[in-house]
Amino acid sequence: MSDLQIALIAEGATDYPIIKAALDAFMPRSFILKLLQPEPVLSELGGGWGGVLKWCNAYRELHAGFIDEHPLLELYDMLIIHLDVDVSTKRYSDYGQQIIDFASENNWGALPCAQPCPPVSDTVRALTRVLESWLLPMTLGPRTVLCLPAQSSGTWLAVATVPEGERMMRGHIECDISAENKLSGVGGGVKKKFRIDKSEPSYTAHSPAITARWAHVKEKCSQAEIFETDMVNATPP
Amino acid sequence: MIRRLNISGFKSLILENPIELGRVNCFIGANGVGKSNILEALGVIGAAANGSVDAESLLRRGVRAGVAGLYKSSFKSERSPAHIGLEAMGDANECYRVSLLNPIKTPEPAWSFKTEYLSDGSIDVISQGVRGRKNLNPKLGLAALKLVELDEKNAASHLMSTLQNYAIYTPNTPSLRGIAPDQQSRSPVGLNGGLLAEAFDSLCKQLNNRDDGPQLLAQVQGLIDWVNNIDVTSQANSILSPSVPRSKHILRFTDKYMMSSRSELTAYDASEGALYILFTACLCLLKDSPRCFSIDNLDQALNPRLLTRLIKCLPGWLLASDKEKQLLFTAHNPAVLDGLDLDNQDVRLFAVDRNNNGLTRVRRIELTDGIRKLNSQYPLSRLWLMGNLGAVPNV
Repeated sequence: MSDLQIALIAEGATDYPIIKAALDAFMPRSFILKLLQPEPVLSELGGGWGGVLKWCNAYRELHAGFIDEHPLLELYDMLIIHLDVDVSTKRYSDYGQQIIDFASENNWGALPCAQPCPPVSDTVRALTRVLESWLLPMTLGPRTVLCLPAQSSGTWLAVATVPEGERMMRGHIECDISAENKLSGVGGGVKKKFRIDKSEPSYTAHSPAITARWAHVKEKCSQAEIFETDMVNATPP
Repeated sequence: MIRRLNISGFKSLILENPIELGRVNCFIGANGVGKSNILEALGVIGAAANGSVDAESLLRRGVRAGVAGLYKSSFKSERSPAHIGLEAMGDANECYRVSLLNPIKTPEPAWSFKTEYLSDGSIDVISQGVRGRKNLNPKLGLAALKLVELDEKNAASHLMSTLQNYAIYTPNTPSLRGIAPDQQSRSPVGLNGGLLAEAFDSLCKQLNNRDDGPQLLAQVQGLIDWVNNIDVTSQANSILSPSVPRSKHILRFTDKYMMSSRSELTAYDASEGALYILFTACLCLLKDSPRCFSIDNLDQALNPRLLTRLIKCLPGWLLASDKEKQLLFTAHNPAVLDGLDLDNQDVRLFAVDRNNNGLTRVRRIELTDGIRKLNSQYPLSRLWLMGNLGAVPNV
């Protein structure tokens, strides 16, 4: 059986190893995961969640209907759109007045949209609606999966690598907006030997722990469980 | 022409399906995905077809000599293969298949032939299972010996000679300029570009003897837009410093913008792009260049627009030289793709990636209705850069 070709839209370079490690844990078939990028045109939208927004905006201009059927995705079997749930706390004004105007003209869902947490699911629902508004007139198709780690992909890495007894692990980790910062040593909460700086090489080096401890990650992070279920259901036979 | 190539257990290559080759075969992909390994696998099968696989026979074909532990695939996710399996098949289903052994712990200078199979498409010439006969030297290929019994026109013989003469060319500027020795000198041009002047001289003579020769030569020269004329001379005292090492023949470029009395340059002073163009043209057009050959990083030193034009010339040049002539090349410059006429079945584009376990995967990009529709709005170069063709790094 040939490898699945999976396109990935992600906020940044550190998200790729996290998502790949998660897929390594449960995908029923071998796969080739490719990070798509918006073209580097001059824009107020930089990387991060602005990059995802920029990608959505570029693609929606060319196609209506299921995003799976977008001509630019012809060579891919599946699409993953990643957005950290902490985007629910952001504002369009983070990227300047032009983006505020653009959001208004295009009826993009309102930001911030964070809801009381726990449960994280209310915020996830609100953020999903925002993301869907960025894609219109495209809609999510059966081969598209949203990957929405709460509050960020770094949380999955933290859960996989930091022991239960560490202070940062107490409470609802999916509601902790500073979990990724704590993992890198900002603000305490984790012993020095468990810290992982937020860089692509460092995340890549530690990402196999996510594959190895995926069951534990799912147990602590409902969004990991949902991602796995959605991916398995969307995987073509 | 080699139509199918199957590789199992060589470096990062444990292919699921054979690579279906055309006349012009372009391999694109991120650095380190295994593009050059594909070219090298063909070099290994070429060495086997010639009767021995050792450092000397591999280097002669432009294959990096390596220890057995590095040649054999070694993936965490896969069982280590006992041998390297290689297969090349031609137009008439003629086929040469070989499996090669070399112990990782106690590597030997030459690889042993484990199994060997040669067919002309209808009759098996050699059909050797695991070698048991102790009177045979396991380091020598039987198929190469058997060739003396075959008619030259036999499809198996033809395939074997194509494989035997295959080489990977990796031009570099000092060798092209003639100021550094070529690591693998051979006729008509060295694997690093040595003897370019001699090769171009042969090309001019060859083309002068055919009706479409002047047109082809003009096409080559037309790619170098700053020259009025290119020829080969042995009298270069007035245009080349005595401190520069030189060979008997020297390329002479006449610059169209300079005063006629001081308008001549040698390969030492000429733009390196011009040398890469001539190098590629010589290999494609010369009758005595290998029937099947590779150029690793064909795009180096060339302006994108020039590169697109050069790529457009390749199918015609190869066909003009020999209807069997075939080129495999790797490239990183997106402009290469805009020169590929994928409507022409002779021209093939392969996206090379590594899957989640690290295995090299090769996928032919064909002009499906979807890709054609895309290509009507976006040049292939743009689609590649955006990631829509794959074959990009995840950075």
